[in-house]
Amino acid sequence: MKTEDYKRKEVRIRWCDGCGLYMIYNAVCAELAELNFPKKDTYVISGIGCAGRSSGYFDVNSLQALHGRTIPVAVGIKEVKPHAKAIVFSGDGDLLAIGLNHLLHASRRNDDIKVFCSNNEVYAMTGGQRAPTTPIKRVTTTSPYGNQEPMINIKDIILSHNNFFARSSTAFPDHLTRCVKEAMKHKGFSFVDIKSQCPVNVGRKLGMDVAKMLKWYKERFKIKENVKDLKEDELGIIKR
Amino acid sequence: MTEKRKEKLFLQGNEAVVLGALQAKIGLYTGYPITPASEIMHGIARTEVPFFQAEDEIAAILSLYGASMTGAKAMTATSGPGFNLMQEGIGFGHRTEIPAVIIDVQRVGPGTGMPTRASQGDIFASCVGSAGDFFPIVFSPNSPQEAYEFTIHSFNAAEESLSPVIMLLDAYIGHGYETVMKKEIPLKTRKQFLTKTRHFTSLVAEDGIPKTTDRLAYRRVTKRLKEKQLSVAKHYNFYDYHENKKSDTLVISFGSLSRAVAAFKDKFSLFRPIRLFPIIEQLKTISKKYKKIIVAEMNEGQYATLLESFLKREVKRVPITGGEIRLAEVRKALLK
Repeated sequence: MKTEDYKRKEVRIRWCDGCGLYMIYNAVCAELAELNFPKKDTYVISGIGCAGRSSGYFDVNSLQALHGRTIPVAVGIKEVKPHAKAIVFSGDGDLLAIGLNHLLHASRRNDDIKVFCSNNEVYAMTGGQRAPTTPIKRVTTTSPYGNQEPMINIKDIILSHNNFFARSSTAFPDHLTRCVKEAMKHKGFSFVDIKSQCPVNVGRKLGMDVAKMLKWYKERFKIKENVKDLKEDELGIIKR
Repeated sequence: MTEKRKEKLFLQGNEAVVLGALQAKIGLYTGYPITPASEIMHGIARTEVPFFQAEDEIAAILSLYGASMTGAKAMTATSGPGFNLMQEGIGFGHRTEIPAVIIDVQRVGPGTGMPTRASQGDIFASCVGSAGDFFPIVFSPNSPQEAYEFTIHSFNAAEESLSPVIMLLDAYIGHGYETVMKKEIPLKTRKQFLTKTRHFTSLVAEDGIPKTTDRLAYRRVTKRLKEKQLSVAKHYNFYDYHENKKSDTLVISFGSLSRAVAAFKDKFSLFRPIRLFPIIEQLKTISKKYKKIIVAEMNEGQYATLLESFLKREVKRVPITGGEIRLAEVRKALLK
């Protein structure tokens, strides 16, 4: 099948121009096409936020869950259909703040769920508030004097259960494609943290357009190969 | 003879729920431990039914929908505190139209309350607990036998209405042992709803296409859901009515308290709704025969409040609270 076969045609995509979600969505559709995975056994679950609408854009069985509750739905699917592919496509606020409990326990149980986390470092849909992924000193609508709270270390949470962890960015499309491919191939729980640009609620506030944001991401992050661990500014795949 | 003996079991209400769920061909049980509902989970864990012990009640209810969207029948059981955590999920299930069964073995609340004691305090929570408009089907059996039967009816009603159906038990029924007779109850299964790929969402949507700013679409969807729930509920019109010609008073009670109230059938006419919501339509005509209506329940008058607006007349509240039923207290309260 082709990439386009996994995209729902009758729905208009509502993401902003220049949003990183388009690239992640494309990468996941392309990988499903590559795997030629039957549509009836593919389930995409999304949560709330900008990434929340994503499940409706896939032409597979899909569900938009409550805020933060994507992973329990995927667990329910895998319980009754162990051969199905359960993909969670959501954002950093949804997965790492309100939904962290479920993520932590799915990781502990090593449930066979593929989690793609579009990480734009803020709550974008609701107006750019500080998220657990917001870097120190970043100005957001709820941290007008600069963020003072440390970021969540999701990498070590996932790796503490010896699961698949990858960090990539929409500024590196080839690397992103490779991470999505490896995550889909992996048997067991896999988490891909995708640093993705939000031109509206981050870019505009920090005085950057999409091109400048992508350049900024390219400066901020470096790709590392065959590593056992990643620093905060490094992208790569870790399988333990 | 041996065959017959097999059909007759000595079970507590919680075990009877497991028996009913197995007969209804349950496909997934999820739950989080809580007194006094845990025995349901213990029972299921010993069977071959897929079972997921969730990290919290929110995960429990959402995983039901995951299983159910693939076509499996799914159930969870909890008590007051867990039931509160599930509320957002219950509203979600109504809007996305995914069937599920939720058993609430009520204990005295709010908060931690009296965890081992019986209550009927979750009446409001079961019908208006979630935000927004929704029209739930809620059953309230009064014995292990009925707990068994109405577990199967709950599954049937869920499959027929494509909505989460709630069954309210309480600690008395859940933990009390009685004889349970096995019974043939025809099973209902939803029409295959995954013939082509489908998108489930709780956004206001028609045919999977979100219409989040269309007021007319909202009204159309809500009207359709309301009509569907009311028409399915008609197939589950379960109630008990004992007419006492000498009395001008109708006593309404349900669940375990109705067992104590039954002792006064020589003094009053008695009405026991087994389907609490939507409220039994016949009650309107039945209540017209009586000068006085008493609603006895194990809370401060939740069902009475709803009946007042349904019947458009005043009813007398008889709260039997504190987690215990004493016959002498019930008598005193009813005859006062």
